[in-house]
Amino acid sequence: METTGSNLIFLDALVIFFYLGATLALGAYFSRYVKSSGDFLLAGKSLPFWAIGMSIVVSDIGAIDMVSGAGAAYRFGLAQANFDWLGSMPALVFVAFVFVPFYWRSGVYTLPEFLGRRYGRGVRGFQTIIWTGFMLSMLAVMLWTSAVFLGTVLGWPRQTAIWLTVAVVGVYTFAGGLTAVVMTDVIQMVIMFVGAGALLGLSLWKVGSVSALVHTISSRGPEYANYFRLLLPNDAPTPYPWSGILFGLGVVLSTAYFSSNQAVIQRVFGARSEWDAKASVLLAALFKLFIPVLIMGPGLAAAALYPHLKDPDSAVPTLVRDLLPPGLTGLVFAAFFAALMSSVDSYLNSSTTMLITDAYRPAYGALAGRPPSDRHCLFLGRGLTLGLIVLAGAAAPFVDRFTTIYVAIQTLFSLFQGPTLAVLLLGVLWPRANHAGGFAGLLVGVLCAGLLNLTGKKLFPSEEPFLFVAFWSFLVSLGTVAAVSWLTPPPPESSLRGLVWRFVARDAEAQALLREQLEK
Amino acid sequence: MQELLQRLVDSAALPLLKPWMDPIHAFLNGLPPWSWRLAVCAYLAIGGLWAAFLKREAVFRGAPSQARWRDLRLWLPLILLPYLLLYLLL
Repeated sequence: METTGSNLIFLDALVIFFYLGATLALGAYFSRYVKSSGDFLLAGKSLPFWAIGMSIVVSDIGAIDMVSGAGAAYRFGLAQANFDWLGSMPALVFVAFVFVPFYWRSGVYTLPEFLGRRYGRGVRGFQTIIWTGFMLSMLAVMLWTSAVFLGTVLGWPRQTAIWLTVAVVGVYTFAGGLTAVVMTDVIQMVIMFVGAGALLGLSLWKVGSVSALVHTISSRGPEYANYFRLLLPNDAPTPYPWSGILFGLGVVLSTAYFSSNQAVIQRVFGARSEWDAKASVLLAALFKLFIPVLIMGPGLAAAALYPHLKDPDSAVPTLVRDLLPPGLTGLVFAAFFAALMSSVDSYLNSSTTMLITDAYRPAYGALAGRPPSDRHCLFLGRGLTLGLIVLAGAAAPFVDRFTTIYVAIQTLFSLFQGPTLAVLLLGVLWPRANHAGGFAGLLVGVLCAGLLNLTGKKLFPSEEPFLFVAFWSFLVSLGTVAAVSWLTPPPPESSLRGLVWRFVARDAEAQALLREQLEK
Repeated sequence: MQELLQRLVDSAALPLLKPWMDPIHAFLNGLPPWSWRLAVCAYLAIGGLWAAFLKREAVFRGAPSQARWRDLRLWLPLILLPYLLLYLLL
């Protein structure tokens, strides 16, 4: 059979190019529905629950997870699955029934916008800077991951891989906005599940069976005694002791991630009804059950088949290279592209939304004395989409300078997730929380997280203490918001209507007021 | 710069924080495995089931119909049970 000059044969290349072409066509098709900035950024509030649920899962599971998630499973074993199981289900149920009704009824576009209405401009600005910086960094890392994967397996030049991804994702996100992002995510989830399932099936077939897999690895010695356990002792030499998993991941990081990550919740803002918004998050909780099996299963199989890989992250590329027959390799590559693009498009659309809603609109309003026109925002949204993806593409090669970028990203995440959750939680549940308390809570929480990151290795039973950092910074932030709010004047009740649990759940008048504000 | 900051933080913060943290982790280290499993399963169960007690009106708000399958409280056991089984068995 003909080859493409790399490990990919013609049939595989055909599958990949068909997939990329279909994705672009789908984006072009949905561009006809984009008539306003609301259509572009929030899909005109028309999305059904099943599409959003699939989109949440597939946006959350990116190419980084397909490579590094499997790599971490290869290295640390089954405990890695906690990130999708304990680190998802309770948080998603909580988000579905507490935060989603809030976001939905307050009619906001972004989390900083919600926090800005609840606390004031200082908190909104702080959150906008943090989240935009984080999402842009993630975009560059995702593009670099793509370059590394394609370069390792296919021998493509890394610049080519980066700019090909930039072109495809940029074009359909530019054209179709959130609708295109969510609808392509639906296709991408199906392809990801089929491709990852095929890889899992073949690798298990090569090992023999699940029990053969367990036997092969467990018989290697006592150091593998905990390899197939979900919960590990507090003093075990692992980044994931049970206390960190329960308190740091289960209580803080996962709740913060699903309730405040713009890339995840923007889909919820685009739902066609409040019921669809809640149902979509619950559906995502159900789908998350399968993710560790599909993503980490190949990593465990690689541990049985290739026990001496120098780099655990090469587990999946090695399986792809050695096990997959012609045609199926193309499908797994399509799955990889699907995982990559679904995350890149989400972060791209969300960064754009945040910059327009939380930076441009307030700045324009302050300077011009009136809000920018809708057409103006749509034009800017599309321009920013292209500008940001090109910027991320140009920045991607710099990621190579950081050897521990994945840990750096996790550490960066732990710096602000705990404080953000504390401020959000008290803002939603406690009417007494005020602007001074919210701002102080964020500032002190981030500083505390920074301090704990520096001392964490000597303070906590883990070499990578980000789970503990998130938990303690959450508690410190919670205490700071409460203390400062008590010591300063309470916010006027009129400013809380529609924004605090007590007033949103029962106050129909507040809903009408918010709708009126939005229409203006 | 980072090294200097690290040394500064270590000398200033560690003596303050360590006496608080060490007993907590000594206590957690001493807990038997069944207690962690119980704690995690309880968190999952509470995290998954509290919403089952929400009012019907809150659950159905915005739903296009009152069909039984749209009652989100009925989705919760379906979602929760597989997770509970995983943490009980693995």
